[in-house]
Amino acid sequence: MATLTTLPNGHLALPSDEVTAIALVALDASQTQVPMPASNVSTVVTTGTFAASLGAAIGVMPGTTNAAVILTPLVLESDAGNSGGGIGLTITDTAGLPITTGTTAALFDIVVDATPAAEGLDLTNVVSTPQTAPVAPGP
Amino acid sequence: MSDPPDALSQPINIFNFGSYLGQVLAIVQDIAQSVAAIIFTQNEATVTENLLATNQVALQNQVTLLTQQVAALAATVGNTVNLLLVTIEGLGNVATAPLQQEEITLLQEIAQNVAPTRPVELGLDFTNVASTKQSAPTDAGP
Repeated sequence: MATLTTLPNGHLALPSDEVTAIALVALDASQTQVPMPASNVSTVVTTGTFAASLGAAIGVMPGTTNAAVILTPLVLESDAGNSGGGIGLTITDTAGLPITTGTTAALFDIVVDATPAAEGLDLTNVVSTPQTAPVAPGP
Repeated sequence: MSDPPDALSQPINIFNFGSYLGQVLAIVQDIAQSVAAIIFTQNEATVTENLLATNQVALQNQVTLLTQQVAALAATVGNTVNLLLVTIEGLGNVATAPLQQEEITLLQEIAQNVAPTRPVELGLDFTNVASTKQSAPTDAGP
């Protein structure tokens, strides 16, 4: 199970080359997770200046039947680097339950995934320095 | 006799008291059967088997009837509690006068007492996250 990276500005980072699912849970008064209200239907929309840069939908956690919010980046980058980001979520449900403050306060930035995926030589990036020619004739 | 009823040691609330009483009645029924069997054994010479059997059936019928009545009562109270919860949820975003707000607060306390594990909030669990790869978007953003 993964967790989200928190950026220096406090926003949660969403790599643009990943679709992220975050579990949507119901809590009782003691903040213990309990089953969702029967026949409850939730909806989610993105908010903020750059709301259109992030797709949001209600789905399920991969490999389970548990509810989740599915976040799909629609742009390569929307963060402090290009004066974007700060995308929020508004979740509503038919049971009329309030949303946790941690959820309503969360803001997301879309970041370029800088995780190394492969390595190789950059043949366009070459520097040479002279040396004494070797005495061995070869080959 | 029935197995030791673990539920009998649990606090009674609005949702379990029906099964609680049901288990009590099952015990009473077991006891009644045992007593009837003992009486039959002791009085075998003087009391007819038919009379004992009649009394036992009558007792069992009464216990069965009582069990049904308790189940019906539990269903009625359960419906009332559900109505209470729906009413509270419906009032959640309604502007109210101070006195009405006190009433709502009291209703919420009652609901919390009778159904302590009912969901009261929805939220994202940021410790439970999964991701799958997609092609990086071509739109540069932001």
